[in-house]
Amino acid sequence: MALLTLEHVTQRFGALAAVNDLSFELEEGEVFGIAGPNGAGKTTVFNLISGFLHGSGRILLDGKRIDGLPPHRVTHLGIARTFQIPQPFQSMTVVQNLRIGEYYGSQGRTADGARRAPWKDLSGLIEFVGLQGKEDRPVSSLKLYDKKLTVLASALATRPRLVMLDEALGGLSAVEAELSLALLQRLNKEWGLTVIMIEHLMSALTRSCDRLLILNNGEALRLGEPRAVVEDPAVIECLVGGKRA
Amino acid sequence: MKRDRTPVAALPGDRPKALRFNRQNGITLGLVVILALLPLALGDSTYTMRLLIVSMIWGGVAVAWDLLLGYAGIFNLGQIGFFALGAYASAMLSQNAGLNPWWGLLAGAAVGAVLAVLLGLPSLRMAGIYIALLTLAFYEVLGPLLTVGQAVGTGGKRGISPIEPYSIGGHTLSSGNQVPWFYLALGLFVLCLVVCYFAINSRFGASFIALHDSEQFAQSLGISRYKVSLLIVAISGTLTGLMGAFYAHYTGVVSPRILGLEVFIYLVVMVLLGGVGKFPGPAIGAFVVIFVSDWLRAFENFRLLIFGALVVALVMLAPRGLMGALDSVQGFVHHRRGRHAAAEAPAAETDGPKP
Amino acid sequence: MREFIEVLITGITIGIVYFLVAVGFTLCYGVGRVLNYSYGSFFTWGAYLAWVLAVGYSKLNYVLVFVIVLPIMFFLGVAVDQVLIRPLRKRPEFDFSVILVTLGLAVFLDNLVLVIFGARTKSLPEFLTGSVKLGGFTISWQLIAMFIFALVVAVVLFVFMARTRTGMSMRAVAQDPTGARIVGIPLFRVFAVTFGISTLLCGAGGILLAPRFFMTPTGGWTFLVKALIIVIAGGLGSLRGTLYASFMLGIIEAIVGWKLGLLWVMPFWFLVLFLVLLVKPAGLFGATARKG
Repeated sequence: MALLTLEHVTQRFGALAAVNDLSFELEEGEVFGIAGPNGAGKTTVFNLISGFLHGSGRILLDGKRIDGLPPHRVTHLGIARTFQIPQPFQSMTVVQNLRIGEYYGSQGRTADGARRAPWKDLSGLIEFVGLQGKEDRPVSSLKLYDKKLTVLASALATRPRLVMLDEALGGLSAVEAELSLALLQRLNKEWGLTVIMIEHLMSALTRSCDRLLILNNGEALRLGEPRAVVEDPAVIECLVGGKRA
Repeated sequence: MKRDRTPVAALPGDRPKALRFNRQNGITLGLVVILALLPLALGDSTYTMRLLIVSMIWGGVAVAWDLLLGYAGIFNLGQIGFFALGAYASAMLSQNAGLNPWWGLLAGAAVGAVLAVLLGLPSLRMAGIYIALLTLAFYEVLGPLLTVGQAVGTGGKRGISPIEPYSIGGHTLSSGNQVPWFYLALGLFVLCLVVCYFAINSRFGASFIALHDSEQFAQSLGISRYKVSLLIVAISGTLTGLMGAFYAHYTGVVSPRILGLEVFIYLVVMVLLGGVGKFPGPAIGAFVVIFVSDWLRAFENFRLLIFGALVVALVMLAPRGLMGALDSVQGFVHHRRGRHAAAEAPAAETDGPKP
Repeated sequence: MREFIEVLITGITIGIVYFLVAVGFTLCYGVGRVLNYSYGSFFTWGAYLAWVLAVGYSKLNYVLVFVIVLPIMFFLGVAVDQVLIRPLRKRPEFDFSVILVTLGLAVFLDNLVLVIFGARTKSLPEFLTGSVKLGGFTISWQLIAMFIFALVVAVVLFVFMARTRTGMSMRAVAQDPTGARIVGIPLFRVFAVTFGISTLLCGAGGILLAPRFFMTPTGGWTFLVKALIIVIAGGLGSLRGTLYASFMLGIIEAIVGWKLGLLWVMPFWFLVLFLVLLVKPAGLFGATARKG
């Protein structure tokens, strides 16, 4: 059975359909990329899955409906996410940010009714993302990359099965972007996490994704093997045209 | 004022920090100890005792309000409504239903809680700004409602008076001897301080501070915005209703005048002067406001003019209040003593580096 | 029945004046993100300025009163925006600071009136006396004058918003402040003008309604709350919602005042607001009240 299923999902803002009749399935262990021009509805898809928006259509996790659930319930079921602009808790330190995720994210029960054991020791996670030495720094003093890592690590501290990364590489230097990509691959290979990533950088997507979805005007333009998708003339036109607009 | 808030003292995992000595609880403790000893020094100065009792009542309300304004970021402008209805509930139960005034305290707290939740239910589903609109409308409508509510025993425009005072072991408290009143008020004041302190410095506190800092991120980490907000509103409402009930029996009068602008602006100044989101600043602000306002009594009409201008000046020039000023002084001292001093102190007590 | 229709006409006339007052409030939020809690005090100031000119210190004609008072209200608003609101715009918690600063300003302005004019109620005479009989209904000239004045202001406002450069900039800023700045609209000037227009509308409401209600230094609060309730019921930032809500509540006010007395007006308004929010949490025409 698919891990995550979207069936005819639609979200309207007034007359505009930000996401229009979108359906796809996600297998456990997959890295799934989403690309498309600005305003194509990529982040809206994340907001729908994570419960910040409630549109029409059905969203299922392990065959059980999760559309209609509030965001914290979705988190408790094992879906974590990051945000395009990282906004960690300003009045807390790095490790305190992580603890919020660890404590509140592991409350409630997973889909199979079992209680997940929270991580008592967060140092492994801090080392994994590469924030060692900065644990007790107030978040407000961090640079963008470290803020992104803090948000990612806090999301991981909720012990998710599926993690959704919203432009994890945006605004980073080339070196930082490489580090982030490597991190993402380890998440998938070593931890066995399923990953959905929104990204603008096509090379990153073709390198790390198993499948790639191109969104345009809220609709699925192409879905398939990344290399085939990016060479599709319709996709090229959409992305290049989209950038020019 | 978000960035200026004292960082959380305790988070999941380091709970004992709430019990460790720090500036927050140090000042609170000092304040309470001084208050507890004051009657010995003042002896029979009934007038000063009265001012202190009133200060403690409003100090409790101010910290409870600040829990919403400064920590949870909920712009509830109807706080005095909770206070007034707590007072009315207790007064009506003792005067109209003949219930022992002690039960009124419970009733006041319950009314405060229920009301806060009722008002919270619709408004917390909406954007923050709507809460400010709706709660102010509630506060402004309450006066006319209590005035027309004569049929249910609110006493109309004149309110309820006299209200039976408390009695301890058959001995009725009188206004002639303020000492028992004083310690009763102190007890309730301490209750407010303790509840608010632990609400802020606990796992629960971490959750509403997280929501205030970054709402969507907090939700995405598994915090229920709705549940947390309702709970914090209920706590604040309970404490405020409780203080209202005590106030009714202490002063012996409640009338729609309690909902006047004067009281409201005093409460605003208390919180602002003490420091928004700077526990226990608002409580200290209450003492300053009550005593200064008493001192300004001679100016009558100019008093509110001054307080209005004071609110404007505080927001414009000193939005962090007295406790914020203390932070600056401490920051300055730390800076002079070198970085090691700051590094040694628990993270909870140092301000983040200024950008 | 005849009496009922007359009450209805009164209700509609009050409704249009309330619309002016409420539209100023919602404009200020829609464009400048300012919840102006000193709005009621500007209402009071408009009424008292008119009293000074028409009763207290000279006996000016009402048309002249409008011509003098409205620009004063406008510049008062601009000054408040520049001195108090603008410096707050760089604060992280702008919303919260603005609420507090305008609350403080309201108390200051009200008590300034109290200190200058005293607590005794004042009243403005009616613009016109007498009444006219129209098809069996008696309508006072005062009501007709109110209606015409308010209508003129409303029409001028709509034309201003739709046709002038400033009006269009205001609408652009309301929709997308960042975008508006990018295309070169001077944000701070637009904010100031908006604030000025909003206080002007509020002052106009004050003059129009003063003959109907007694004036007291703190009387403006009732009108702030009325504006609040209209705006919440109609949906914050929605002109259409404000229009419907104004008429609805104006009519309710006239009927409740006629049957039960003016004291019951506010409780009824709140009841209506509560019912509206129960059915539509974002108000009648509010888009989405929840952010994000």
